[in-house]
This record gives sequence, structure tokens and C-alpha cells, in this order.
Amino acid sequence: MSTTDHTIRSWKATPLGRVAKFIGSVRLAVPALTLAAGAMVWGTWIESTQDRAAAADIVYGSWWFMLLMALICASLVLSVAVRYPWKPKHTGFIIVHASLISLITIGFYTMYSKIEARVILAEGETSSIAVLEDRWVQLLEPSIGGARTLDRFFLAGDKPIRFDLESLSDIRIEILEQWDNSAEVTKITDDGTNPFHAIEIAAGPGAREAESGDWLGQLIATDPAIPSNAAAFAVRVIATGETWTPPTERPYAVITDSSGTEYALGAAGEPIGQTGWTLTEIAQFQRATIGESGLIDRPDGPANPATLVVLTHADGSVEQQIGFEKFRGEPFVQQQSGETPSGLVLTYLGPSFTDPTLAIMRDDDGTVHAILADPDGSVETFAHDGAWPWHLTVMGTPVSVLRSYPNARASKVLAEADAQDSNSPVLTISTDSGPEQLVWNTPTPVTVGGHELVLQYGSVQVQLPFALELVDFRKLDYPGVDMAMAFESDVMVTNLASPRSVNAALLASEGPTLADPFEFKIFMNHPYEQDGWKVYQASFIGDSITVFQVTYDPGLVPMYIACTTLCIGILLIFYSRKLSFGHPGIPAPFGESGTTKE
Amino acid sequence: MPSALMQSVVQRDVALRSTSGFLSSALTTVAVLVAVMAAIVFAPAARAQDSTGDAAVDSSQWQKALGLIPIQDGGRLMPLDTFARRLAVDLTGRATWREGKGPEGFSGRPAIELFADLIARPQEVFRSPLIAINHEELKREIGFDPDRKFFSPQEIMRAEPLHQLVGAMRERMAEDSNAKPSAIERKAAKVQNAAMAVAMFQRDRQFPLIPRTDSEIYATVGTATAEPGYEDVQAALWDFRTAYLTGDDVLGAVRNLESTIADHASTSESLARNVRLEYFYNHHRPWIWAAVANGVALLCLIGFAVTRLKLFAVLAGVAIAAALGEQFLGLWLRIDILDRAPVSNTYEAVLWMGIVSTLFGLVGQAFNRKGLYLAAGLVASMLCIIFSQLVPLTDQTNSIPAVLRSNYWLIIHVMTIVASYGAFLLAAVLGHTFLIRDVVLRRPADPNARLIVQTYRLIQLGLVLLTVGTILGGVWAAESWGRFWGWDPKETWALISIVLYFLVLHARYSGWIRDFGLAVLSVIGFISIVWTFYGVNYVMAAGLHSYGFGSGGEKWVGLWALGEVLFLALCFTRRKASSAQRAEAERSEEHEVAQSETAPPDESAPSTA
Repeated sequence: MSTTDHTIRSWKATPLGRVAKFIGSVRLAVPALTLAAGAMVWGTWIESTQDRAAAADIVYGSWWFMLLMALICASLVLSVAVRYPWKPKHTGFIIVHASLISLITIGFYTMYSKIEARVILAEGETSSIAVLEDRWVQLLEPSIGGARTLDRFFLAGDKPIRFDLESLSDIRIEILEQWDNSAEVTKITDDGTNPFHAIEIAAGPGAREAESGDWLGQLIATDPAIPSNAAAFAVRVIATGETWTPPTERPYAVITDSSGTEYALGAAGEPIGQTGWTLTEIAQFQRATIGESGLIDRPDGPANPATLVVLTHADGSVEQQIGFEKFRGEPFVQQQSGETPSGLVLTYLGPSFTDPTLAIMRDDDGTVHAILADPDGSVETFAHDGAWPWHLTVMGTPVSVLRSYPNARASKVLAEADAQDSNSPVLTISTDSGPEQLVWNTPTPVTVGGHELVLQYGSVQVQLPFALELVDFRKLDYPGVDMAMAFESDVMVTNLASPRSVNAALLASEGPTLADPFEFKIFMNHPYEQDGWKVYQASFIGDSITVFQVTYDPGLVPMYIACTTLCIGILLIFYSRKLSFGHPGIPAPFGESGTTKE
Repeated sequence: MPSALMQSVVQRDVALRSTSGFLSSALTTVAVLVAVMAAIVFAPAARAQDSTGDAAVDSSQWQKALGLIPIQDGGRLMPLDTFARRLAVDLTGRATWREGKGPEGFSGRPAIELFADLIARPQEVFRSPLIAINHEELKREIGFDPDRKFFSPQEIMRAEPLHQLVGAMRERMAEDSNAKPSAIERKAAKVQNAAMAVAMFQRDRQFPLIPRTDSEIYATVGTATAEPGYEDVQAALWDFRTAYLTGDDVLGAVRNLESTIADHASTSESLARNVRLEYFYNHHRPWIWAAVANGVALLCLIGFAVTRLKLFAVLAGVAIAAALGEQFLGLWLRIDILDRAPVSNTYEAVLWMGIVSTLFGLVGQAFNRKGLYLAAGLVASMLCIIFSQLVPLTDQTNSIPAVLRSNYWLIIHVMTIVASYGAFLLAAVLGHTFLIRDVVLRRPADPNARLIVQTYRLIQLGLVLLTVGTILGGVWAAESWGRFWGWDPKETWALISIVLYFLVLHARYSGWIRDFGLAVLSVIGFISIVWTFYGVNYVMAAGLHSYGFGSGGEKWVGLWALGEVLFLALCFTRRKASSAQRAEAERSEEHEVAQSETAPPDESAPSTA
């Protein structure tokens, strides 16, 4: 016994031993735990001011927090180790500290082994596939009838992608950018094969794309400082080679009959050809708006030419028609009295030209100029001084022509978008041929480090050892309010052949043999369990779609065991005199006076 | 009263003889403070009760009859009395106001009369100052006089800036699901809702008063309109309105309303019983009686300590029994009425904490008759009740989300956790007592009482419960949705508190802190517990434990925390000033206290972690 004591003592006296003793001492544990507590305070603060993901990213999942946990774990291990040889009174101490070591270890193990996925089923649907909640990059091998996953990489932050496959162990794929959602936008480049004129302009509000024409360009920005009704004119780009002259003719209203004969609108009281109808009322509007009292001209309204006519037949029938320039041939017809429909149509003829138009064109010699044509017939010409961007003021609105593309080519590209309607995250990685975009759930061939790979950024599907069919989903509300009291799903479970291992299950997609299905009811606090998998009622969508949370957590049972021993250990330290040293100055247990000495 | 307890109370005689110096100082101070607070809290309610007077004997009859009519609201059946009280709280901030206080026209009157007013003369109510706005910044923002407390619904409906404020908030929340309303916006929305609730009465609001045979959802009726087929109830309600306005046989009108409703279908007997129980609960007010009985018990204990008359000990025992009886009655009523575990929101948890404190005090006293567990338990229990009644903890009888329903582990989890809070509160009370006695008043410590040992013991007990409770929470979460630990703010803060208290034990073990440090840290630890319990839900309002979310009382809790910090600062200054004495005292303590060899010299100031 004394020799053992001696060896231990001498081991502790070495420099390494002193370091071990320090790491295992309360002097290190207290600051380390204080630091951990501080970090956790910070984490909860981040969660309340930002969100859960930010807290996980900045604190709980960060390398330094892991390191701190590892240090605490090491401190716990050494605190037990340096007390060797242990006495019976160390029992409580050892149980507590060993349990804590286990808890931290299991925590780390759970981080890498736990699978959390979702199954969303509508009534009548069956699935044995769950979708992992995280984002992954998968390495695919194209095969007949689909692709096979060779390896996958869990995406956290912007750490570079590495695959575990031996043949690819040397490559490191840098992540350049991550977008939570994307949308397609048109981009103009000047590398078209044919001459095609396009411009890029930044215009204030009031300018808009012409309704017809060879518009090609990008409206970059509008200046919100200018009120939107300050000006209203269309911008039109004239294609290379096309000639354009401002229209001189104004659109005009006429009445046509079923045979296509046109009758010009005269003054009130004039008959309309030989139709038997007489024009009894006529009114013209430039900025027509349908108000409560009928059609009115609103001075501040948008340009909207319209004509109102009232037609009267000899037999006493009266018909009112309202024709809009914008909706040619489709007047609003109202039979005001009598039975006879006129069969006449109030419509507009002539060029469609209601707004002033700014036409930007490129001459054969390469110079650019613009023409502002007003419907009243006036024309203003803007000559380009040769400098880009070209600033002009059109009807009080500043317009900047940023660039002119003589050989424009339009292409669709992805741009970052707000996370709203579609779920299409994009990951940009560096490849041998420059940055490459991986679109959500779309296999993309890339070349990295000389290897030709097929990568897919997206969710990962997991094969479950059972199939679930949703028979019925029920949501019970509290009486009289729209608040769920309970929700539950009736499922038919089909036990598929037990998979070889979880990893095999993750990667396999072969169809296993089937067993007889059986009924099961999944509800809050009542999950379905099989082969380490648990299916929980998590949520629902509408009235008939259920959302299950599926987990596989091999660390759970060890976690329970460690928690139990931890509690036993704490009780021993606090309340057992035989199996703990008690605390200085504190009598143990209740009711004793005096002190317990170590 | 169990005889063991009586015996323990009597046995305390020995201890009290030796510690009477302490009892006549520190405990008296605490008790007087608590009594004053209790008086402030409960006196208005008591006086409001009295002020109804003789003339109101008649009206109290119809009020009771009307209050007992069941109404379906908030997802359950409740007496109209509760409905009216909740309405009064939503509008005026309190269920009742004592004469001369509160909004004009409502002060000194029961909530059910406010309801009757709203039915009978909604226009008048709409124009009278009724809705409480306490938020000064909000009042300035919307152009209201910051010195006024109550505003008429009409003024509020006309306050364009208020609607803009709320509209902007709604717009923001619709666009961004992560957006959180600011305190002022939340209050603005509440005020707007209150005004709109009154406005609804103007447009003949209908109430789900009539049970149906074919559906769980009650048929609704107003004074002028009703669901088809229930016109007779509408007529009866109109008759009640007329009778109320004229003051002519109101009771008869209420009885008529009752019987007309009963003609259609009857509420099931178990539900009807719950409604009656709830009415009893509203009017018996078990928590207030419990607080009063606790106060009486404390005074008796002090009386016993000073005079050593056994009569005081017996009286204290009776008062404690009465207090516990009332608390368990309240608990049982809540379980029975709401049909759920009595720890489903913050209000209930605080009340549970009070019960646990008394029980721990009794158990501790049974084990250690020289201790002050019982007195501390009574103080803690009383503080809990006062806090629960003083602070407007939102929605005291609400329905709970599906995830929290009928789960054994969840109930055990919450009860264990809150029980640990009770133990820590007890430890903090004893810590305060130690600081007041040994540091502020500089009474020499009595080695036999070992107050700080009791504090230490309670921290241990609290730690066991908090650890077990937090683990149980993990077990429940793992069984409910498959994750044992998820860094949710509530569980993280529970862990922070666990770590903090374990640090205290380690610091004490290594001798870094002594009695003073332990007492100080028992107070600081409890601030952390309050943050875990209250701050996470009411101030941070994030994470999964959202059923406890609410607002209210931030000012009070903040003031308390500030007071604690000032108190600790005072303790540190007093301690420094008497450093010579302290050195003396600690030298004598040195003999007593066994030290590990790593313990640094005692000069080191206690670490406040």
C-alpha cells in the first residue's frame, strides 16, 4: 500500500503530474465552469435577440465552446484520476464526476450520431422515406434509374467540403457563398452573335416599359424621392436596324356595326348611318376613372382615354356604351330601356399611343440618341454626348442610360432572393472552372482538383425500416376557440426487413421484403418506436396533413443511465457520510451538530 | 396539525432562547416588512368587499345569481363572474377597485356590475374613462396626458397615432415571422383591444351562454340579436337589461334569464359543478387567506420567541395549519376547475413554490429543531403569494396547448423544478437573515444555531431537485419530440443555475468562501433562479417554454433585483468597516472548519462568480 502511495506521489511530483493535478483541480474547474456559464448566458441572449440558429452558430456549436466542454471533461477525468488510490469515501465523488464525463461524451457522440428527420404525409399517402432537416452536399454516382450516394457532407457554416472517400481525401471544396433562397433574373451581356440593341437604364418612377416593341434592357433602380405621378412615359428601345418615327396619328373612337362598317362619331343628335339609331349623348375622357357617379375625368389619374355614348332607337330603346382606348372593341354596354340591342360597337382605331414615349435608338454609325414623342404631336430629341452613363431629364424625371449593348444577349441567372414562396437555396463553390452554383436538390457535374464529380446540394433522404400510411389525422380544438387541444394520427405501419445498420439504411434504396401492416395511433407524447427509430407527432398542416418528427438517437439510453447515476452520486455526496467526505464546516446529514472532517 | 410538528414548535423553545436576540431583530424586521407589503396588497381588496355596504345586500343577490351563469370563453366553461373579472382586468388592470381608487364609476363595485353596465349602457361606458394605460412612453407617443391613468374607449378609438403604431407592428409581423413587438407596441395593441372590446358591446355583442344538445359549442346571444331559435333568451337578456337600468326586481330578471337558458338544454352536472366551484374560488380567495394566516403564524412565532408563552406556539401551529389548508384548497380547486396540473403557468408555479416552501420549512424543522427553517418557510411562502397577487401575471386561468396536456412526466418535471425554486428561495431567505444579523446588525453569530449550515443544506436540497427536474424535463422532451437537450433558453438557464450553485459548493469546499460568501451567493444564486423562472419567459420571451410567456411585473422584479444588489453592497461595506471584528471572528472559526490543503488564506474576498 505504501509503495503504491509512493509511486502515485512521485508521479504527481513530475512536471506532467503537476499539470494534470492543476487541470483536475477546483482552481481550473471554477473558472472553466464560470466561463461556460457566461457563454451560455451569451447564447440565450443571442437567441432572444436574434434566433435559435444564430445562437447555435455563434456559441453552442462553435469550436471554442466544444473546446471548453472538452477542457471541462478533461478536468473531470483528471480530478478523478489524481485522487487514486480511491477510498470508499470517494464513491459519491467518483460516481458524480464519472457521470458528468459520460454525459459530455454522450453529448459529443449524439452530435455526430443522431439523425433528425421529418415525414410529411397527407391522408392516404404512404412513405418509408424521411427527409433530414439539415443541409447537405452529396456526392453522387450516376447509375441506371437514378443516382447513388457515395458520400455526404453535413454543411455547417462555411467550412470547406471534404469527403471521406479515400480517392477524394485530398480535395477541399471551398464554399464561396450560400443563399437561403434564389430566383431567376434576366441578365444582359454584350456577347450576342447577332447585332441586337439593348440598354441598361436607371430611371425614376414614372418611366415604364413600353407595351410593345423590342424592349431589352434592365431597369436598374428607381428614385423614390420623385412622386410616382410626376411623369408617365414609356421607355422603348429600338432594335438595331429598325427605324422608328413617332406616330403622328391619334387614336380615335368610332362606332362599327356587325358588318365592320365604321361610323364616325358626330355631334349629339346626329343619326348613325342607316342603322336607325341616333347618337343622343357623347362625352370624351382623357383620364377616365369609374367613380360612384359613373365615369369621371380625374385630373390626377393615369392617362386612360375613354368615350361614353348614348344611343337611342326610333322604337324608344336606349343604350349606353363606354369604350376605352385600352380595351378596344370591348365597350361596356348597358341597355337602359327598350328591348332592341343595337348590335353596334363603340371602339377605338388608330395607333396605340396614349403615353409619351421615350425611344432610344442606335444609329448605323454607333451613336445613340433618344426621341421623346408626345401624343399631342410634339417631339423632343436628345443627343448623346458620348459619355456613359448618359443622364437626361425627361418630363421632370431623371433617366440615366448606363450602357448601350450593340450585340446584346439575354440570359437567365440566379440571384439571391428573400425566403418567401419558393425554397431554392443555392450554394456557390469554387471549382477548377471558377465559381459554380449548386441549386437545391439538383445534381450538378463539376470538376474539382481534376476529379469529375456530381454534387447535389440539398436535403438528404433516409430510408426507414418501416413504412407509414396515414389513415386519418384528427385535430381536436378546445370548445369554441381555434386552439388545438390534441392532435393525433392513425397510421398503418408496415415493418420492412430490418436493415443491416443505420449507415446501410441511410444509403440503401433496395426494396426490402414486406411484413403484414398493423394499426398504430401516434399522438403527442406517444411516439411509434422501432429499431431505435422513433416517430413523433410534431405538427400538422391544414386539416389532413400530418408532420412527423423522426429520430434515431443511439445516445439516448446511455444518456438516461448517466443521468440516473449522476443523481445517485449527488445524493451520496450530500447525504451519505460513509461514501463521501462531507463538506468543511457542514454537519452531515440533517440534525447533526459539530463538523465532519475529511 | 400533526403532533410531531407541534412538538417541534414547542421544542424550538430551547433554540429560541438562545437565538432570541436574533429573532427580536432580524426576523422582526423581515416580518414587519412583509406585513406592511401584505397590508398594501390586500387592504384594498378587503375594503372593496366592505364598501358594498347594507344597501347592496339586495344587489349582491342578483350579482351572485348572474355570476353563476355559465359562459363558454377561452376554450372552456366558466362562470360569468370569471368572465366579468377577466374583462375588468383587461380593461382597468384589476378585477376590483376600492372606493376612491381606480376608474370613476367602477371603483368600489364588483366586476359583474361592469359587465351589466356594458350590456345595459354601452354608450355611456364607451365615453367614460375606464381603460388603464400605465405606460408613460405610450401615452406621450399617442398624445395622451401622461398624468392621467384612465382613458375612455372613445378617446382611444379616436387616437390615430395609436392605431398607426399597432398597424405598423402588424404589418411588420406579417412580413417577417421572426419580428417581435416592442414593449410599447405590445401595450398599444392591448389598449386597442380593450377599447375594441367595449366597442363590441355597443354593437350588441353576443355571448356563448346557451348549451346545446347537439354540439359542444354554446349558442350565442345578445340583448338585441341571437342565433336563430334562441330569441327567448335574447328577450330575457333584454329584460335583464331593462330591470338593471330601472333597478326594478333585477334578481327576478336574472332568475328568468337562468330558467330561459335552462329551457333549451342543461349544462352537464360535472361542468355545472366546476362553474359553482370556480365562483366559490373567485370569492373565497384562498391565497389571500393563506397569506394572512402565514402572517399570523409569523407574528405568533415572534410572540413566542419574545414571551415564550406556549399559547403563541399553539396559535402559530393553528395558523400554519390554516395557511396550508387554504393553500391546498386553492390548489385542489384549480386542479378540479381547470382539469389540469396546477403548474401550467407562471402564476400557478409561484403559488406551488409557496406551498413547497412551507412544506420544506416544516420538514427541515422536524429534522433540525434548532433551525429557523419554519420561519423562513413561512416568509418564503408569504412572499410567493404576495408576488403572485401583486404582479399582474397574465392570464391566470387559461387553456393550455396540446403539447402540455395530460403527461405524467411533464407534471413531475415542472413540480420538481418549481420545488427546487422553493428550496432556493428558502435558502435565500436564510441567507438574508444571516446577512442582516451577522453583517448589517453585527450581532455575534450563535454557534448553536448555525444558520449558514441550514442555508447550505437548502442549497443542496434545491440542487438535487433542480438537477433531477432538469433531467426529467430532458426525458420528457426526448419522449415527446425526440430531443433530450436543445439549448433552449429555459433549459440553458436551468443549467446555468445548476452550474452556479455547484460552483458555490465547490468554492465553499475549497475554502474560497466562508459563511459570508455563502450567504451572499445564496442571494445571487436566487437572482439567477428568478431570471430562469421569470426573466426567460417575461423578459427574453424566447424558446420552447412559450406557454409561460407573458408580460407584467418587469418593473417590480427589476426593483427587487436592484434592491438586492444594493443590499449586498451594504453588506460588503459593513463587513469591511468591521474588518477587525471579522478577523477575530474568523480566527475562532478557523479552528472549527476543516480545510483542504489547497485552501487559500481567508483574506481573499468572497468570489461572486
